[in-house]
Amino acid sequence: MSEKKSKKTSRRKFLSDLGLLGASSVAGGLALYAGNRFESEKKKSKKILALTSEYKVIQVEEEAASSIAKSEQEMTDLTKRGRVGLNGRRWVMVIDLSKCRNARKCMDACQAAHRLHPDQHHINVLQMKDTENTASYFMPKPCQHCDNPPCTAVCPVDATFKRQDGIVLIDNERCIGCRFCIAACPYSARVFQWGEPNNRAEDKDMEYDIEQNVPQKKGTISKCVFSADLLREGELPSCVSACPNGVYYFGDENEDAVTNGTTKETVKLSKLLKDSGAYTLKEELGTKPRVYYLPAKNRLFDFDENKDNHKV
Amino acid sequence: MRILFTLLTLSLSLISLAEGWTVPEDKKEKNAHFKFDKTSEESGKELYYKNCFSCHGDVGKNNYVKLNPDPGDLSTSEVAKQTDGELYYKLKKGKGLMPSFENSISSDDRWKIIAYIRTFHIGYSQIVELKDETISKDQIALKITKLEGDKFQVTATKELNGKTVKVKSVELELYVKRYFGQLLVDESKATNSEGKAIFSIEKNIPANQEGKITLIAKALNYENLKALQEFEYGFKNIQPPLNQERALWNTVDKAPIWLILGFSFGLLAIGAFIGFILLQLKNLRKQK
Amino acid sequence: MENLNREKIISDLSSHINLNKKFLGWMGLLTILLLICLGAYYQQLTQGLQVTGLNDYVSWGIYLSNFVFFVAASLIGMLMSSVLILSGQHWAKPISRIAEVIAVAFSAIAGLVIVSDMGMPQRLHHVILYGRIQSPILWDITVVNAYLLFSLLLFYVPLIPDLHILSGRFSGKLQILNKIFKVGSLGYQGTEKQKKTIARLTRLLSYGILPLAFGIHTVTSWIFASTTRSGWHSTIFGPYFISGAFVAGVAAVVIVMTVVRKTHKLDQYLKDSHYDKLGKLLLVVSMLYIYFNINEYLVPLYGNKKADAHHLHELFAGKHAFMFWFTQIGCLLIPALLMFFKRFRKIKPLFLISIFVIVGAWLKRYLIVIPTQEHPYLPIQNVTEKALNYQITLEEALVSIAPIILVIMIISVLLKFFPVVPIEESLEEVENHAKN
Repeated sequence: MSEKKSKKTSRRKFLSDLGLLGASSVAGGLALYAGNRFESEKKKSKKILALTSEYKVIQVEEEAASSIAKSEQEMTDLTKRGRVGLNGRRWVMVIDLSKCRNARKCMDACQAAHRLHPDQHHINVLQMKDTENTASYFMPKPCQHCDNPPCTAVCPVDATFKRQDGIVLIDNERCIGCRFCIAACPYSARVFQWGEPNNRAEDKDMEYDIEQNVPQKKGTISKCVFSADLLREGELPSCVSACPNGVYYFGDENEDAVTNGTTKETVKLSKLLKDSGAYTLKEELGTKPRVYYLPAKNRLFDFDENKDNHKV
Repeated sequence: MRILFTLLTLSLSLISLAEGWTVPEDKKEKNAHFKFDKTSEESGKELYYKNCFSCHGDVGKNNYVKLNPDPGDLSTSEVAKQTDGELYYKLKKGKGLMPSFENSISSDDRWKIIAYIRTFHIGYSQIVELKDETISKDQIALKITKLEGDKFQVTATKELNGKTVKVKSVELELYVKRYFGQLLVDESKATNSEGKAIFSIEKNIPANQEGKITLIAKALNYENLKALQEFEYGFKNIQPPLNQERALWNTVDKAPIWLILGFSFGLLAIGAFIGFILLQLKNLRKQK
Repeated sequence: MENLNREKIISDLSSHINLNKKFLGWMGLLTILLLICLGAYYQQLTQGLQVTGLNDYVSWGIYLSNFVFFVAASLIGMLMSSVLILSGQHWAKPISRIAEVIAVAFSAIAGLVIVSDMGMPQRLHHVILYGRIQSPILWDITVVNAYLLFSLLLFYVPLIPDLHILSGRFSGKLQILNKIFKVGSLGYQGTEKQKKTIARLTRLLSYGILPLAFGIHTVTSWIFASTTRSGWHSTIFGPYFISGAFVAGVAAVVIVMTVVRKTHKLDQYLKDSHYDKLGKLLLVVSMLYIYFNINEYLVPLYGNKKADAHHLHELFAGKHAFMFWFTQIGCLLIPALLMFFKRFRKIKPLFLISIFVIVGAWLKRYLIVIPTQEHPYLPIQNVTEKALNYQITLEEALVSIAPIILVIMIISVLLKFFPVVPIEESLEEVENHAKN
């Protein structure tokens, strides 16, 4: 009897020990995990940069390291290089509002390049009217690729992030679709794939290219990425080269040069900004946009507020 | 208010009168690299009415706006006696109330406006930097060399009977290569009788990561004639990556230290607290 | 004499632990309703969030306001069982378990509400794998889960003596409860030392839950306040939310308490005096909430910045005016004023008023979450009609009702199988009474 009882108690003790161990290890593990996370993250990113032909050796190492490393390893090469970005570049866009006639070629080109529905906009030409007595003007509005981006600040999973060349990207293989970034963006620059995206038939087997954000994925965020895939090839973003009116300039701030997408003329960025009274959108919010606007002055065409100037 | 305005305009006109409008000698001799013809005059007229008409009025009609100093009518002998180079310089740089058109009107268009104005100047004959039509572009070689300070020299030569001969009147533009295109440095220049044209490039022009710039010389009056050369020059503009700093907006491995500490401490405190309570509960049965 | 009394109390307070048809029928009904709602969620899973009225501008709808409401309601556990008890308000003791059950149910389901809002719920584990500690969402997840654990403990620890008392008292189908209660009581025998430990742990938990409870709702408010949008970007959002949570929580307690009092026949234990005290409590927290409301709306009215002015106009006289004034006056100001009069602090009137208060609390969260998104800084153009007007769809409504059903189920089960009014404490009170 007593033996039975002691057995019982010892078993019970074991069970309660186990429960206690489980519960406290979950709590403690969480805490330790957070602490260790940053160190391992650092090591990891170094490893990924070192990845070359000795792929195999490192792979084994990573697998042994932790489960986080394992999932990190699932990143494709396209995503890896997309997350790193172009070294030594600082992309910048200049939009000359005095030239915008609302041709909307930028919107069309963008929607084609990024497989967007007609009502989804990475770049949207807005008709602005600042006060009752001032004139209307057209304002193309892409993502501002802020240097102090409010959207990436709130992302819970590093799905949206800023790279070294200034582009704010979105990883739709990471995104959980919480839409906090939409709420945080003061420029309404982000769209969500509420239903099936407008992918093409041939995109189906395509490997996900984070720099183009194609194929788009239902349930994730999509946004302007400055056509990062084209920049890598030395080409201008699709909206910039599509413009028939010379509205857009795009270039590298480090080179102090921007190239007009229509005329292909390259001008000095600093001089252009200085001479034309450039400004940034809602700079009082402290977002530090990488998109500059030149004011809508001395327009060389008639502006009809009521006409939808779709055609040039 | 009115007095102030009058004083202001008066002083402005005095300044301009006192200083005159002198054009540097070398700029005076600049000439267009194409012959003014009907087409250039036509487009010059269009450009004139867009950019100049608002002050200068119709040429020859003396209906210019009465400003101080007078913009004047452009058909007068005062204007006619100036060289093309002088008019080009003034149009480009502007002075006082006359704005600079350096950015808003391209070099060719400036010449076209002059072509239009010249149609009102009786007895004008254009001096044009005409190329030597006997030479084809394949025979010419362009070479870019670096001189003292911020000067770069482009030499145009051709091989003639085994000897190298200089080519003059090659209208050249010098560009520096940028990621998406080519940035014009300095203005276009024609080679002199020595076959040389000298350009200056600002010293702090951003170079690439190795501190080098790539220069491209292009001949305007010989199609597809160009030269490309890399130089160690300019300002090695190495800026830190834009995602370097620890910040709230950056990725998790670049979170601010205070946040990492705070978050970890919070988690540890919660874990420890719960662990302590569970331990106490476990020991409950022993407390008889 | 004392023994008899003791037996009566125990049987009174445990008689509701049974499996009667009413309860089974109730749970069956809830299950059916839940299944219908889950059908709507299945639609959302397969077709994407397009089945909701959400769009790229109003991208957070009633799922989010539901979440805020859940977090708010869960806060009552802290107020009743921590603040009141620690400050010596012993009248709250019989209600503390109801409050704790509400806290457990709402905080357990709050996480699910957020999951229902996610575009990619299958990637929930990304939050652990790639969690970005700068995001208020991560803090929220951490704190909500911690609060759930603490609430569970605060529910469980004071329950241990009751489990000990009740184990062995069941027969028939409920025999299994004997064993469960026995294991659950962790070897508690009612020794002095054990009593002291339980009291000490309860007190410790009551202290420990304070910062967490403030944290959970403050961080939830930061999800909005940390953006730059007008109507959200406010420094008083933390205390504003917390005071609002108290109002909603007191109303929730009154409602649950009144229902349980009737179904579990606890008239003798949940008395008029409790309602009187709760009415006064409702008055106090409502006054606090009204104070924060005045701050929240009056200050930007003076500044009158473009975006703020537009936001306030929409609330005061625009699209949302009716809902706004109904919530502010009908569900907050008038209930608070009525609480000045003793005759409204009775069971029936207070129950009715609480229903108004809780409906108003839900609508208030709608008014906090949605209108702000309808007027971003830049104009909304070149979009479809749907993006100009947020309309709740049927699927969306059903998916929002599902978590409410789940909460009711959890509350029903917990209050069915565990004593609603703490037995041990009631016994002690009687004993103390007898001694004096």
